Amino acid sequence: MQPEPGETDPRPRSATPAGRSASVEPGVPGLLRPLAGRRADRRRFEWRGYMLLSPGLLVTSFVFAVAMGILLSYSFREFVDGQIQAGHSTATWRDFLTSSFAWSVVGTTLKLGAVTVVFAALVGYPMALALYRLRRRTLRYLAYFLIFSPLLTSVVVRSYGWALVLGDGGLINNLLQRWGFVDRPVRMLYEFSGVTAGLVHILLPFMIFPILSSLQQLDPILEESAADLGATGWKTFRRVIFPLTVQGLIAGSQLVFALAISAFATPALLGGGRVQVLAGQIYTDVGGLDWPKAAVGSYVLLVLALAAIALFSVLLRAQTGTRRATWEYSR
Amino acid sequence: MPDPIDATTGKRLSRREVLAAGGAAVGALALGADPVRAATAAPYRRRAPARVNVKMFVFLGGALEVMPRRFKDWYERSHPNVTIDIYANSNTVGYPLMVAAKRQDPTKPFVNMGFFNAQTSAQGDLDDMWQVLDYGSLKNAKDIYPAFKRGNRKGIGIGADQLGLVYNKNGVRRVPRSWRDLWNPDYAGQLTFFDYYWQAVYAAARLNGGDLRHMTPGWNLWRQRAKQQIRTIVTSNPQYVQVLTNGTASLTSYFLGTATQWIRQGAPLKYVVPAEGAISVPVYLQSVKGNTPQQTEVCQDIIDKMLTPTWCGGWMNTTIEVPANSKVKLPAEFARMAGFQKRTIDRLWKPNYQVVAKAIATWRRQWDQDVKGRI
Repeated sequence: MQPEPGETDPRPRSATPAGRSASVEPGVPGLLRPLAGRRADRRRFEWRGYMLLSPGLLVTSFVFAVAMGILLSYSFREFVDGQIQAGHSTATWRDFLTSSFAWSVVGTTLKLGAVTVVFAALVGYPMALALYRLRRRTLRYLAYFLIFSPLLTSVVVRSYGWALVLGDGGLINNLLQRWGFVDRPVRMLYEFSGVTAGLVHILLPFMIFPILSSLQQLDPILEESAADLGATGWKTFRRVIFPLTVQGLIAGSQLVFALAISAFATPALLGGGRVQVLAGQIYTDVGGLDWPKAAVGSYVLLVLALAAIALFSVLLRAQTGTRRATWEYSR
Repeated sequence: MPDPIDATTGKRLSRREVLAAGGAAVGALALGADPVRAATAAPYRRRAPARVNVKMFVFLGGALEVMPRRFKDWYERSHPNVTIDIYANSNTVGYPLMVAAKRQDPTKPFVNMGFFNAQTSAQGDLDDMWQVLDYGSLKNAKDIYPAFKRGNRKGIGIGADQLGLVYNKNGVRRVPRSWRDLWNPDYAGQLTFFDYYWQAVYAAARLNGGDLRHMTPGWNLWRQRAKQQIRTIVTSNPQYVQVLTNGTASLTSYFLGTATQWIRQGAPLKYVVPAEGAISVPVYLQSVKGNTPQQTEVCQDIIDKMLTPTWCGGWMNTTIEVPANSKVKLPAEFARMAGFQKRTIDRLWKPNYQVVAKAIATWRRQWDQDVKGRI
């Protein structure tokens, strides 16, 4: 259904893959129906949507609200002499916000999220494009399986697998030494690089899937038209394919960043205490019964995740706006 | 008039049971026996014992679970009305769940009894987690070394592990002998620790003029040496043994029991008692507050049975710990081990775990900042 001029698109953005705006899709049959009928349709659609959404929304929001409420209460308590003190105070927040160690952990967490997104995008986009181009069904299914197989195994198993590959006596160092590239093992395990490698592998499907989804929405005629007009393959990619799929890239980045900054097992197993992230710090605080500090850490992590989601949403909105403007202009 | 309650089981008595009890009391009086015991025991004997379920906390890990699981099978066979569920985890992970459950409902503890190390036992004292044990009614308590009995009678020891030095035989040029080797530049970059290993700081403090209440010399030393000495910090036993055996790190401080189990499994490791003495880590059996009277009775009985030379010896054999029961005979293999020598036992460092439990937040913060944050 095409929206009227000056009227917002009734379909929620999430209803279209990778947040594509419905305004770019041609399709006019809805315009032939009377306006009142279309409004009634829209109301019915919205009502059904809310009904479908409400059970899940109620459960998740209730659990989330209760958990965050309890955490908020704990964050204003203090852990002294092995005991959580009865009264409320801002001491734990003050300790956290003035601790250079806490800020270094926040910095490492953000850096890990950003670097993982960059590498996942660099590896994921070409892979998604290759999957899109694959015409042989067997090959395509095999590629799907290989790419999504990390999700079929436990994150702990995958991380231990990486530990065997990246270790001083691991596969990579063995090959590097055998081929004479290095004299002594290159330190990858228990370093930032090792954690990044593990996270990129584990989170790659979350980058590939939204990009692939965007690619599958592309009208093949656009590429053909570009070729007919004399554009090279690179130019077609740069001017047509990439701009039309950048929303998938942003959506994938959003997912990967949120998952990377909250990752716990991989940094713990591959970081070996050298890569301190907020999730790991929260875990050790819970184990040490310093629940007020764990609560503060949880809120900081939540704020980081929300800020990142907001940033990516702004990017997504800007991109949608650009595309809508392009569509309006071309019309 | 309130309904009669059976003092033994806490259950209401039926009219028929009251009459039977009265009859038994009269009969007992006529025979000169104790009428109260006769009155309460008569209906109890006539009824099938109530089913009791007990959840037992045991340490996670192959050898540490062996004796508790065998005990469970034996106890359930000999007490058909009792079922024991086992909850296996490390004290570090499991104890916070116990605290959370207690905060939610003190009458529904997460576990009813179990094995807890000295530090967790001390933390439990602060959290009012444990029931006081009646040492007088524990038949086997008389055979337990006084060092394993707690002053507040909250728990009783079954054995004691110790912390010394563990190294990879193929990874070091010189065999470590002293706690000082942990910060000796000869072992630079070869060290690994479990996350939050305050014992390394304690050793450094103690050998540099400090003690448990004055850890500053220890923190100062590790602040300077952490980066140079520590290769990695681990968070689980599988990770630990992997790091120590694959050449990533060659030296650490850890439990004699766990290290010996790794050695038995083929790891190229060796345990050394530091020249200055190892650190004693007793393991206590605890009954948790909030149990029902029936559960309390069963927990007390389980603890008593576990203290017998048979089960206490079984614990020693599988966990390689010094037994708490003086009647347990050391196997020849253990008698030869350095960790079991009288000289080693006499020179064990025995930290005050109450101080450790109280300092946990401050020390952990310092560990994060001065050790973890610098490697």
